[in-house]
Amino acid sequence: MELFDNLALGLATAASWQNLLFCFAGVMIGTLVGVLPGISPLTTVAMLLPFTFGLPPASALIMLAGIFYGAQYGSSTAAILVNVPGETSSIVTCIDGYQMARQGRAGSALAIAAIASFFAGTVATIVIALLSLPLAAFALKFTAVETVSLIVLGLLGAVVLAHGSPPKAIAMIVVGVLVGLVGVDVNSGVPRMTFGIADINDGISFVPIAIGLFGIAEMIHNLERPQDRNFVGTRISNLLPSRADLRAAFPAIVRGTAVGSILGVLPGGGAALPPFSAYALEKKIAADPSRFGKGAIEGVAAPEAANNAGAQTSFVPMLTLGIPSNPLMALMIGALMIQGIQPGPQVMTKQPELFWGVIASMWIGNLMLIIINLPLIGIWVALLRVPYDFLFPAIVVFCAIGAYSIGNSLFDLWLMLGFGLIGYFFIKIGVEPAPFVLGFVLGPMLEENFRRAMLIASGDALVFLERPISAALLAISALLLAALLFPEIRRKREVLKEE
Amino acid sequence: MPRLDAKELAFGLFLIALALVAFAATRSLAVGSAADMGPGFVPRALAWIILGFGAAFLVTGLLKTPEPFPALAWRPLVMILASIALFAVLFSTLGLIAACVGTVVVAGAATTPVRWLQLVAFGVAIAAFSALLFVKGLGLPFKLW
Repeated sequence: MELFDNLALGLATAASWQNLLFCFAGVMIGTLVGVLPGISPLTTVAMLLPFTFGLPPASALIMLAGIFYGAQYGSSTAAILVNVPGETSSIVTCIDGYQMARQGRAGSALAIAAIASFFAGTVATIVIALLSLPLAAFALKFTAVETVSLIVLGLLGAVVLAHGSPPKAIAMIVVGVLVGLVGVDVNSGVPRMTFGIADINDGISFVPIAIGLFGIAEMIHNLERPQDRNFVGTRISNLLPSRADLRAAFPAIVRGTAVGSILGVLPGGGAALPPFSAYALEKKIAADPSRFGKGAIEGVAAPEAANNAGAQTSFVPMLTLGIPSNPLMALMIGALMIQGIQPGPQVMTKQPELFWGVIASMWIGNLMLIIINLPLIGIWVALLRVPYDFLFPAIVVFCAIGAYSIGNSLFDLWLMLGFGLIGYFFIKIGVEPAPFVLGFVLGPMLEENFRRAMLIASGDALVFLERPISAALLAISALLLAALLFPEIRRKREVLKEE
Repeated sequence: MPRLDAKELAFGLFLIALALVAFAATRSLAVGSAADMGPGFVPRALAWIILGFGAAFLVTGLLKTPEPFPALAWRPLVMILASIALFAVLFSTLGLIAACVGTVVVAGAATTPVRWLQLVAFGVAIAAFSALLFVKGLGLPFKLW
């Protein structure tokens, strides 16, 4: 079986001493930022990206991926113990997890969260392995025409699952594409919209933008509100869940994994939406829904499984098609490009050890999390008490060093400052920056393929509808768009988010 | 500002301003034709779309239920941005150590009450940590002082 050969190759790559070390470093840093308030995995990956430059591509990606799913894990610890989600992915875990902690069952909740994450991670690894081969084979046949339609679908899909108003999100995508085009035009060699600034001839670099928009802007926003954390006074004892807990949680874990795996693959997927959907599903099918919100173990198990499965399967579109489904995946694309690798379906055939190594490392990383983190719970608990006032000046320094080192350029620091300001403006007027980032990353690819497609079709835009695959992709895009404008579905989406 | 959705209005104005900047920046670029696009074709087209969105938000912002522009937290905004600017200036002139200390102190002043002594001590610690990690450990060619 080709699948097993591939997974074996991946395991061999991921289990080398160096990669194990980077995987370990990734999940540890990830758990750390997941536990700490006010610093997101996105900012962390952006900050550390420049320093992966000297690593082999597989090690770099393994570590950055580890930060991502490690953070989900740390975040749920914070959610259960202090009722403050480290990341959006564990907002739902707060509901029942914190109640369990207040009832003295913190240990059980933490253990179930860990087991659910590991189970989901294992299944998601297999899902990725199964889906990637056919998807990449399919995508290898794409010409410029299909690529354009695929990017359009990817961008619109991101809007459907994003928060906030769809028209604003679409406007932000277009803005992102425009800003992404700044720099020398590859076809004609003419600098575009650079205002004579030589530093942006090769395009505006992505890392300072991401750190500014997400890290700096969110920090300023965080500082507006007082940060209070209600720590549960009870000591955490008995990290082994009871048999009854396990029996109640297991079906919920399976359902959560299924929900997460499916939602994660979709464009716009990731770790944010799956837990909400999984929680809603558990509540709907439960014999006694009133238990939810009062410490129901299913309310911890299902969302935790879903966010981990979603976090992992969201790598599928990025790795196989080169289309990021969320800003974090956009950063991963950035990491690949720094390494000189053009993301897309050819990565799997040209660099199989990178591709399968990253996938296998996710499973190993999840195993590390469950083995290492439960005994280390005391350390994470201590870190939960670190006040934000102490953290954020240090984060500013590391953000600045990270932004500078990506190109050893002072200009990037000013860029980060500028985008920090713009990002704060966006937060204030209630506009999400994520669609901007996706548009920015995909913009150059979109334009290049669009121009090539139109050249081949001698200016006839109907070519996008004449090719069957392209037409199908655009039809799905149109359906998504219709769904967005259709109030019924929109309302349902809002309800899902509020729950 | 009564009777208008200030947030939506602000976004509309932002988009319009951006579109105008894009038009100005691409005015000397060849547009070409649909079959053979010049470097200016796609940016121009995008600028038109952005202008359209901007105008639409401007109109809906005027018609929607009134919502005031949210209050800004000036202190964190100014202090954090100033601390980054300070980092950029100090890093290129006095080196990493000074930049770290200066940035921590200025950024730390974003919350009140400001404990200056504590911040300076924390800044020195961050500077030492950064010097060890980035210059010693990762071998980055930073000027220390």
